[in-house]
Amino acid sequence: MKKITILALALAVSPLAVSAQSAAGTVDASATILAYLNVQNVANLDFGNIAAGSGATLTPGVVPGSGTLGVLQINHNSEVSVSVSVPAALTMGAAPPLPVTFSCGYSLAAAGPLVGAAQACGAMSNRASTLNNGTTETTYIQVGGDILAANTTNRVPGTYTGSLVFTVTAVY
Amino acid sequence: MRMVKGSSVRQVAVGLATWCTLVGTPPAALAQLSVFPVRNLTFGQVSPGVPQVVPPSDPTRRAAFDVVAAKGQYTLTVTLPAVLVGPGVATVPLSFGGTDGLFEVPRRSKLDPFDPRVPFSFRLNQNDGNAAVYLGGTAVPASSQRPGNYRATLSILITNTGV
Repeated sequence: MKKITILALALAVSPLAVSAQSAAGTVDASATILAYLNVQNVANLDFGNIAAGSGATLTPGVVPGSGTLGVLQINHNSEVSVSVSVPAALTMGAAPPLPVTFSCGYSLAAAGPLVGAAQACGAMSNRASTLNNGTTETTYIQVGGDILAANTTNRVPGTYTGSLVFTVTAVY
Repeated sequence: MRMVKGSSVRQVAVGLATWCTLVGTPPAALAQLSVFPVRNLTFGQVSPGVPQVVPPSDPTRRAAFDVVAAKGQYTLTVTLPAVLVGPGVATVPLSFGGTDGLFEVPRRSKLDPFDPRVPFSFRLNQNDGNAAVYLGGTAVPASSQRPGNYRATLSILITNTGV
């Protein structure tokens, strides 16, 4: 019986000890640091003059003998994703469209070797931040393409044009 | 057999008397005191290199606590984080100034700025009802601050120091 009494007292006292003369509360503090991102067109993609019945290829990462690779410069301090709206063909008024296959690649300079392999512009992989410390770095996208000889035969002469629209998004 | 019963009865009686003493006295001495977190301190989207200030008067971004307390004298102590912690080991320094705290007793329309870096004393009267504690601050990101989400915790402790 004595043990039972002591136990009862212990239980009765415990809640009183919890009723201390102080109370506390905690909340979160938060901030989202925005990424720095700037994209600019360095050079347009230009296949140059193509003789009827001839093809033209501009390969990202390879300095072309003729024509000009398209180049975009991206200044960023986080990983970026790149989505591209790619035309299936170049156009000139009412003339039949001129099919083109585009290819893209990341590089550390406006010209020269790629970082990784060239890839379809419409399905580019993300470009990671190599510094990963908030410092801004520069990545280039070189844009090339391929026009088949078969598509220049019996073609209405003139200048065919089209636009690739690059959307670059900071990922963090 | 009688002695055993008598002994048992006596012990229980002592136990009940002790129970009454312990349970009956303290509620009169202990003031009601509770703290309820209401809102986080939210700096929102911050550009690198640009300090972001949240004043304690900002109703949507300041930290807020409700305080339910009986009449009495109290001391409020704030535990302030030095930095927000983000991706990897990146941190954003925080600074708190002398008026980044705001203490309110709505029934009295009483608003007292205070310095959250040091303990703040206040008194609640019989009919004051609830009080509120608001906290602001400044996030100071570096110009090369790594982008991402940063977080820290901020606590207050209120202690009853007298009636």
